[in-house]
Amino acid sequence: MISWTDVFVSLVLIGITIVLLKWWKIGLTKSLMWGTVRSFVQLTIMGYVLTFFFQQHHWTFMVGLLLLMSLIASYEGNRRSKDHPIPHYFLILFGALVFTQIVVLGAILQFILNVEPWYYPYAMIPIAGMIIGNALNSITLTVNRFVAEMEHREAEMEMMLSLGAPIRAVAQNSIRAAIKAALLPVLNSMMMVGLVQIPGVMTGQILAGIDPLIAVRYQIMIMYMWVTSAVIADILVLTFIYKQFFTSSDQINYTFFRRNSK
Amino acid sequence: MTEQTPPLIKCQDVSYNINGNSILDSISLEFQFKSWTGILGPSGSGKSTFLRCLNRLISFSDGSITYHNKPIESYPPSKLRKKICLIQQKPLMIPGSVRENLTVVKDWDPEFKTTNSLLEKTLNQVGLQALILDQDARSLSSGEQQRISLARGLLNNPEVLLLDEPTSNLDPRLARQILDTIQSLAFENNLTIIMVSHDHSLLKKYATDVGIMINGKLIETGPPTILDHPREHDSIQFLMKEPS
Repeated sequence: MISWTDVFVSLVLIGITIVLLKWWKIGLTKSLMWGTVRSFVQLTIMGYVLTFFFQQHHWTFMVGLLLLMSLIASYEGNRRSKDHPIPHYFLILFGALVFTQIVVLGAILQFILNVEPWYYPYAMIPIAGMIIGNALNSITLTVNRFVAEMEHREAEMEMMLSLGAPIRAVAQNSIRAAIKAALLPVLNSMMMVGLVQIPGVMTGQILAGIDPLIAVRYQIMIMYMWVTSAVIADILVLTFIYKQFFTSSDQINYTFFRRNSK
Repeated sequence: MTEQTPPLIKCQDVSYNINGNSILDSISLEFQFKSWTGILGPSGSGKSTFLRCLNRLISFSDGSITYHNKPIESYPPSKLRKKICLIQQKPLMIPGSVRENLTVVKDWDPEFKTTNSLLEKTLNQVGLQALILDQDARSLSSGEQQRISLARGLLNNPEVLLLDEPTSNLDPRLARQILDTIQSLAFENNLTIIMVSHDHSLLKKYATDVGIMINGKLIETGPPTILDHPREHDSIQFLMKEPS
């Protein structure tokens, strides 16, 4: 059991880091200190919030929290994309995150963990947090890559349109490249998991005294959940945004391109 | 241009503006069936933009364009583009063999059927050997790639070919070879050709009608002989000096 005093002792590690950064004149010490304070404060608040929710016995609290988490994630994702503003991006993100949770979280709670009641907060909240976080990261990678691919493939798209291709076919290469790029890190970690590093969830469970053979089962489920939620969320978001890169007359819509060439 | 037959394509006061800049300014021009119209102009004069208005790759801001006496907006874009086919300045080869490039349309059109003999015939038409069908398209020379791009367009059975400086990356001898090929193809397949170029000597040799476009305005149209004595204009003088 770790006490608050123990946590403060762990600040020694940060102290060592600051000394190293200063010694090598790397800078970033201010950011590091700010990060140290923020992670402390945010996680402490989160602990209290979770405690509050774990004590509730009505599904509306859990669903409300999940919606709130999705809203915050959508806001963050929308903010990150101001380089290439996409109409209704906030709503698209929110819809994709909610849908992904309904499918993936629903399947996990109902068919895998078989929790009772279905909104059992100790399962629902942390798993939803993982799904939202992973999906948002994956969406961000996908959309950035998609926009870059579309810009890069301008001549190819013009060639395909000139041969009478529908916009879905014209965008297909960019869609494929974007989803591949976003899934590569997930697939790599699926390949490497357990070979070098003990993944986060397992580390936590083992630290809390759970049998490693049980901890691996959770970790396996999480890896599968991770890749599934990324694919569902990425495809959903691209389905809604690729059309916006074309006009209703099947022309390339240059307004999203950083370089408005035509 | 003959008065009796209605034009295949008719442009009336076509303008195109973007961000307040006028790229095309009231272009009126008619294209007769089986004609070869050359549009001469310096870089940035709006020639390529004009071509892209004709098959609706971009929408003009003002005016009208008709094809077979119907506004081009009345055709579904994909149908119109199959009939009015743009051949880009730089031929774009997708990764893969020549065969995959020629049959790329079947990726989205299940009705696109082709046979080996048709592919071979089309390659021969554009002056290539059937042997290259399974070669990597990107490993071929730019002249060969331009011919493949042409063959790819022809497999769609177009009625009009829009050529956007199709020979600007090629040496003059190769340029003439390709345009000779296009000339005989146009004759065999009843094609109407609209070609933009900044090379007046090529237009003089191949075009049946020419137009001179400067700063988005069509300043002169007529038979190719107008290129011998263009009206006084600084930009035209510059064009005439430009090496081909």
